[in-house]
Amino acid sequence: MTHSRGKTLGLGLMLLGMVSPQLQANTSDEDELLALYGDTEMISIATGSLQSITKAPAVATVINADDIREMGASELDQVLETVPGLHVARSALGYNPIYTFRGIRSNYNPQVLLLINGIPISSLYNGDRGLIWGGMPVNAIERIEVIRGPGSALYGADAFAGVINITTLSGSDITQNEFGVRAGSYDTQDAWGKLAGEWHDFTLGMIVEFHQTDGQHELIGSDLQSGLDALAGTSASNAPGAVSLSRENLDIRLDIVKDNWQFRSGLQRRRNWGNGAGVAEALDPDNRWKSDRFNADLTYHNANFSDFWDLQAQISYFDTSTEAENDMHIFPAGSDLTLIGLGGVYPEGLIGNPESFERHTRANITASYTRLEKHHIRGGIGYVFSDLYKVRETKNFGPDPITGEQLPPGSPVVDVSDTPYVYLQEGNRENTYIYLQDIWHLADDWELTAGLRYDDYSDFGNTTNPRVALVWSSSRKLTTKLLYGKAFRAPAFAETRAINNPVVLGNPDLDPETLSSYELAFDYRATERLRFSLNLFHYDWRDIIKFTADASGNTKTANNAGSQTGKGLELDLDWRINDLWQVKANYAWQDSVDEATDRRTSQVPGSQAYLAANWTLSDRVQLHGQLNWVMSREREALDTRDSIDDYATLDLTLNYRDDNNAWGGSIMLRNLTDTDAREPSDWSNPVAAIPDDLPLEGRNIYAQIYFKF
Amino acid sequence: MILVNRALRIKQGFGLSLALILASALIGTMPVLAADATTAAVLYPRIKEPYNQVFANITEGIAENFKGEIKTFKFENDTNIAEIRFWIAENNISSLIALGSNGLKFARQLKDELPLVVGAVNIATEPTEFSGISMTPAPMLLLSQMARIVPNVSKVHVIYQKKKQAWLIGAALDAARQTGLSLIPHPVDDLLESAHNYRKLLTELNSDSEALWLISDNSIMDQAVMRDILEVAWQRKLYIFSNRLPDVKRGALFSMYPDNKALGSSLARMLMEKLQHPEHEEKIILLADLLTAINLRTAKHLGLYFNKSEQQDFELIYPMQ
Repeated sequence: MTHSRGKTLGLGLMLLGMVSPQLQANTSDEDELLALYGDTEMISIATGSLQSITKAPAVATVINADDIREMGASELDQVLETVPGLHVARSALGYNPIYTFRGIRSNYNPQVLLLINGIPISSLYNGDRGLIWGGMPVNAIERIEVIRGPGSALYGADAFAGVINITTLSGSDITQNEFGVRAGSYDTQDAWGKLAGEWHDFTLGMIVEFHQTDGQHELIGSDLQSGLDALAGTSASNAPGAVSLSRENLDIRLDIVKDNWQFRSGLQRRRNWGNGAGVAEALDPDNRWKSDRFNADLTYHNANFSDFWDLQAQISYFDTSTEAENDMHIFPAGSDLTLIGLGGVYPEGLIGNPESFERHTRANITASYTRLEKHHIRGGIGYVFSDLYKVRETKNFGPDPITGEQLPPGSPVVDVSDTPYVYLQEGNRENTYIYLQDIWHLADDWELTAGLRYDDYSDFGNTTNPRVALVWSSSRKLTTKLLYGKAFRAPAFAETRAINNPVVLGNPDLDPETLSSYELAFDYRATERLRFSLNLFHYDWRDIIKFTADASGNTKTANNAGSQTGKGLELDLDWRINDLWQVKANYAWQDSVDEATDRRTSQVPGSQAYLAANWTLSDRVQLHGQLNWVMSREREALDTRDSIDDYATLDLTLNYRDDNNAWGGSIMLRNLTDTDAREPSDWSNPVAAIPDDLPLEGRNIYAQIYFKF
Repeated sequence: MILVNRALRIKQGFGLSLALILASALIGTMPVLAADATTAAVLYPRIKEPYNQVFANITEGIAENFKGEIKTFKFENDTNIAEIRFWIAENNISSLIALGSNGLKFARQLKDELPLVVGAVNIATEPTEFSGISMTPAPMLLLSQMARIVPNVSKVHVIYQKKKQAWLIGAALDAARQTGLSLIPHPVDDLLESAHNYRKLLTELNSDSEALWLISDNSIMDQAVMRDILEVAWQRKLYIFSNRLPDVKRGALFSMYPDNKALGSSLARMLMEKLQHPEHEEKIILLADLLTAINLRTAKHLGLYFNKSEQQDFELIYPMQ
């Protein structure tokens, strides 16, 4: 690493040395244009090379492609971690992201809705982004909008703790074709290409991104099998051992626009997916999974469909899979599982390969009536058909599909697909909805947004969710907002349909989780270069779905069993000090309480702080530094471990772009100080399966170069 | 070295053009080409992005509307007039559009050598040594937009620097007469006098029927004065519009800014007219290719509401989120 750092410094100085001696070149023209437009962002917007963000929802953080490039992010989660009040925690399983808003956390994280171009990519199985998520690269992203708090009145199910909407580049956004490569730590190699063109009246855009890595390999000292080994006198555990985070990702996006029509299609192909710290928190270094996620949508939008009517109609399709590339060892070879009721030593390990395949079809129509000056009325109807159409499983435990008898330890792997012994029932869900929203200008400086959405589900009934926002232009610089919203989270099939699992069982009678939220927000634009915002919130989270112990004591069944209340604040600062310096900072504090235990909610940051500075060293070179603090994470109620250490990580990015923007490059240093940062592992009475928590990556470094043509 | 490379590139380009001409002659299209063939150059400084996009958009507008070939020369800070003359000769350039203040400097040296017009420049309409289009918005368009957005306003006040901006006020008075507005100009010498005048005006202005037009010039406006104007305007609910786009972001009701592509079209038409009628007198005209930016937050504060269809008449809407 020292060697790498030396090299980096050398390259950095070399880049600095390339600073143009012609800094003053033709500056009078630049000065005059600057006086005319105010700032460079306005020039970009007014000349059409940057889209204005008038369409962004009222209370949102918006991050555009330039912000992403400045901070040196190559992956979505690196961007999301910078959003006020949002922390990206990690699950032991594949280190999948747990987007934690305002103290709302669960392992599969179905309480957050992730949309790509406004279309949900949630799975039916867990309500997450798919078990084999594998991250998302950022080269195809035009902007990311993050709404904290509920949004079910507009977006429906799962717009609960927060909504993340990713808009991808269309052909007209790609002003120049681009090809780039990146390489760095953990044997990471990335490549991407962006192409755009016109063909007859069609505007075409295509983005291809490839990512391959061995993944970080921080050590897990002891895992669940280590505990079992100690009790049974075996030595089966792979711990101490590295987390398994290899990835091979291919992302392709195609975008075709003609007049009012837009067709978009995407493939997220995941291969060689290592499962992190293991499915049962027992390390499984050789297991690999794969997933193919395909999406397509056809959208018609006409702002002048008829007199005073703006109409949008959309059909979309999303297909996703979870597939094993080789056997998953829930417990490793040589594990003696007598103690957990599985009858003895498994020479090949306890093997289970649950696979699932889903497709989602959606159709919706949205209309706005644009005639009224003091009302802006928008409504829509939609239909969603979600189908978990195939479930496959092979395993070497549980009932023999032929005899029905329990397979003894040491049995070969058998296929239980299409038998009553499979882990999950296939099935589908239909959802129809209707919503109406009005933005009403009550009086000068006062605006009321009121919205209501009704959803009907084929499996758990219906739900109605309102949203009210009162916006007051309190002074020339200050805007005050008072918001109320209600949201729901649809039970996932893992919670309603899981069967034959030795530990957890589904419950078809579940109700959706609900959330009521109140928010008071202040937005203060002190000058055109300095902006503050402060949000104060309070919420009630009810009917939390938890797996609670059954009377038999051996199994747990999903029930609406928990409730949580929370309050807190988010502070945000954006200061363009001058053309050379920009500072962004945010701080979030939350105090949420699990009402069953009357304790502070565990495993979520009580507070978070973020500070970033972007320094334009010259026309060609920018240096971006960011510090991210994660603080005050409590242990679970029975957890006897010491509290989790806070951590602060420092990232530095040096960006270079040549005068004509024909090529550029970056060096990204992440966790520069090699901080030992950890995310909490779960407690499993009487010990934690992984006592030392989940280690995040140490110092890592990447270099990238791109060419435009 | 750079010069050599450039010369080589030019030679290659020239060789290709020659080959094309010969090929065209062989297939008999040469007479048609020759009838139209006039090659105009667009000359502008090489500046960084996104500034360069302004010139790129203007050039796009020129290329789409000029009947003939357009070649572009982006000059560097150290480019001298000899290099430009060499390039003009090598490329058979017969007319020129020079953009920006630095383009204007070269235009001054070339104006006796070939027909040219200038654009994207900050110069007064008089005295005139060239034909061209100034970046200063035409008062006619600003005042008509004011009358359209706030129909109840009948009187518009403007404070101006009496030496530097008198030419503009002349045009503005004509425009006001045509739009049926009464324009009250307030001449001032310096910042102190301007600050005093603004303070006085802002207390006297009738918030129902009078508006204030800001034609900012650094000699009579600074950030503190601007801040005071906007603060009092908010409190008294006064109609303020401006020549400068950034003022809308700060809280002025509306402003107008260049439609660069349309400006390019106008420059192309102006050059073609000049080529056809070289005897016409030189004139700099004010920018009429304009787009509107509005601050809807300020509009609502003033009791002005626009439905979505009406909002489509504004190209830029603040606040942006």
